[in-house]
Amino acid sequence: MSSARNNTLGSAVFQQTLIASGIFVLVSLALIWAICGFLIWQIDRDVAADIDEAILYAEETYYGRGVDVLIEEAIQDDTDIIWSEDYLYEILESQQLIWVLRDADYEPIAGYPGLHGDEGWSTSWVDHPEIGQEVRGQRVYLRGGDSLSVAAFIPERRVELIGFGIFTTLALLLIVLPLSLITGYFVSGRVFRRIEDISATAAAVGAGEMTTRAPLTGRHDEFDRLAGSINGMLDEVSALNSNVEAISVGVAHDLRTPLTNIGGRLELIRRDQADPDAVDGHVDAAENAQAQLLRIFDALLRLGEVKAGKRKAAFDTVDLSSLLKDLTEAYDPVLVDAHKTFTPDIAPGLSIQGDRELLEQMIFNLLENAVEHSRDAAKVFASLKHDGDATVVRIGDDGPGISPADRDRIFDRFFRADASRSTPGSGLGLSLVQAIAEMHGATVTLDPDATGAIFTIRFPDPS
Amino acid sequence: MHILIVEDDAETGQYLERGLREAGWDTQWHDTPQAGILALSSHSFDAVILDRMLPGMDGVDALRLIRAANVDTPVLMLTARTSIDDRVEGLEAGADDYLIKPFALSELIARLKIITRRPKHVVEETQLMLGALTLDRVQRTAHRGDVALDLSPLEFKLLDYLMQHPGEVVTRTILLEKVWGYRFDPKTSLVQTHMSRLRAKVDKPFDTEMIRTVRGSGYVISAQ
Repeated sequence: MSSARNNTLGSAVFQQTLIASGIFVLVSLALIWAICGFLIWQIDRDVAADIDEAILYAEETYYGRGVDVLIEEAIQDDTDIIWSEDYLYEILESQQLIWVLRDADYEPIAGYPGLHGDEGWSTSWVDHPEIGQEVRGQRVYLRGGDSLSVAAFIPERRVELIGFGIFTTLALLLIVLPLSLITGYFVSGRVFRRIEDISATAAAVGAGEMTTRAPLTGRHDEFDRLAGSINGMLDEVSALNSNVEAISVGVAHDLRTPLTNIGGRLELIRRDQADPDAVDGHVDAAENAQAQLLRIFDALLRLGEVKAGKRKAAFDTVDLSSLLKDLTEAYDPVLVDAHKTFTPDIAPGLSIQGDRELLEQMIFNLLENAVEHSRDAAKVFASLKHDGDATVVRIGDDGPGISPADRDRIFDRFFRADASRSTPGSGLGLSLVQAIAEMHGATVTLDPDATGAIFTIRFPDPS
Repeated sequence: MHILIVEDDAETGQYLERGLREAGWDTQWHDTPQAGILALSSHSFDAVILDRMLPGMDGVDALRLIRAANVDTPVLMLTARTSIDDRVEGLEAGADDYLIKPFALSELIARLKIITRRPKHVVEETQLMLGALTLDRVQRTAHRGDVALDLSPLEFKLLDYLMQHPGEVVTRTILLEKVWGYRFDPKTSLVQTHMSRLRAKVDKPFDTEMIRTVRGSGYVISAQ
């Protein structure tokens, strides 16, 4: 479990959650502080404008009409020239400016004596036993060492804005960030576990446990789809794998027979050296056996080539009508010589997308099959027509057919209905027919009720 | 005829040399593509037998080099592979023919004769004549002497091909390939059936046989 935790922290999903959360918090902070900063700047600007205006007015009055006029105009009738501490409450409530005029010895002449500040702009605490508030203002020097300080209490909204900024910053950093990390941890943990399940399945199969399959949750989400397609692939691989054994046995048997024949004939050639006619016969037989071996190899290689789907890129329009016409014309005399009747029925002008050479091979195999495996005097037929939504090729005979028990296995590699294997052939022909059909998106079926072996290949029309 | 053999397998090389010398041809055998290309640049050959899988270089690449150097000596490629793509690749690289291992010597010789025989006329002949046999490609009729032969279209094509190669052994595989355009090896007697029908029409009613079977290899047509 602990290793799974470590893996979760190291997983790509978690790392991405981490990055996403980080970016979210940073962007939020930047946004909040940009807005707060702008609002604070606006407040400061308004206050500064008030103070500037007041100082300008005071300077004009002071220089133009004298200090007494200034004091007279600045001090309201019912208040003292030097403000009392109580009066400061009124100033604070009515949000007026606070000011003080001092002489060269820093003695207050008028205004509130508890206001201090350096020359120019500054922020300072105002002296008062109860009002503990900062003020911001400006101090200017007048004639003869007199100085005037004008300031305003820092507005509550400004303080609130700063408080809000700090609060949201803390909230984002201390609550939202950890929360999103925890959520991310659990979400990525779940993703991680499901991917880990699939990856463990792949590892197990890789280690030879071919029956292991990825678990499905039944939620039909993308993980189920992934697991499903991987399971499908594993099923296919297993099927191929189990075929390998059957194929090996088939190859061994089918190769052994002609090889034995060749060996036997070589021995006979040594024995019959004195009899050229006999040697000729042995050479013929050995050559036939060799040809049989080569046919098996060719069929196997071709089958591999078709199964690998390599030739699909070379698909082109193939005139199936002329292809079947040529092949049935070629086979007609062969069937006649074998004392069978042959009735081709080829509709003209039917084309499909495909590989000409492989399609020829497919029809060729079915025709060879009909020549070899139908009874004497059998009625063999081949037809091509368009039926509903498909181009349909049917090739068959009227006996003896394939026994129901063998029907399912007829397309297996190396399967031959005649267990004795007395007839020539590798048993690969029909597998090749099926592989070529599959490659063309077509289906091959064996008519279940017919007395003979009748193969139907349906090429669905492109939709 | 002088044949260059480029084949890295010693057994196959010896077999080819012996077989071709017995057929009365001169041979020069090299086991690397480099030596083969070098020989080709210094001597004149009638044909090249080029193995597809050579040490250090694909036979197809060697062939591309040869063709790029404007050497148009006919080339027959040998291969152990049977994939359709391989064959197409070989022919596209400039091979004149392609033969899959293992092969019969008679097949190889028959194919070499075909690729080394340069076309005599640029314009395709409208009439082929061999002894008493005439074939009119325009009318699509065939006569032996004064007797008209009633041939099926396929039989006509077979006779046409044979008459283009008088005196040469034409194998069953070559006929399948050139007349039908098929590259399968039928278990059934597809070629034999059609050939015996053709011979029944061309030879049977007459005194002399023009088409003969060459045992284990194929057929040969001749004036006598």
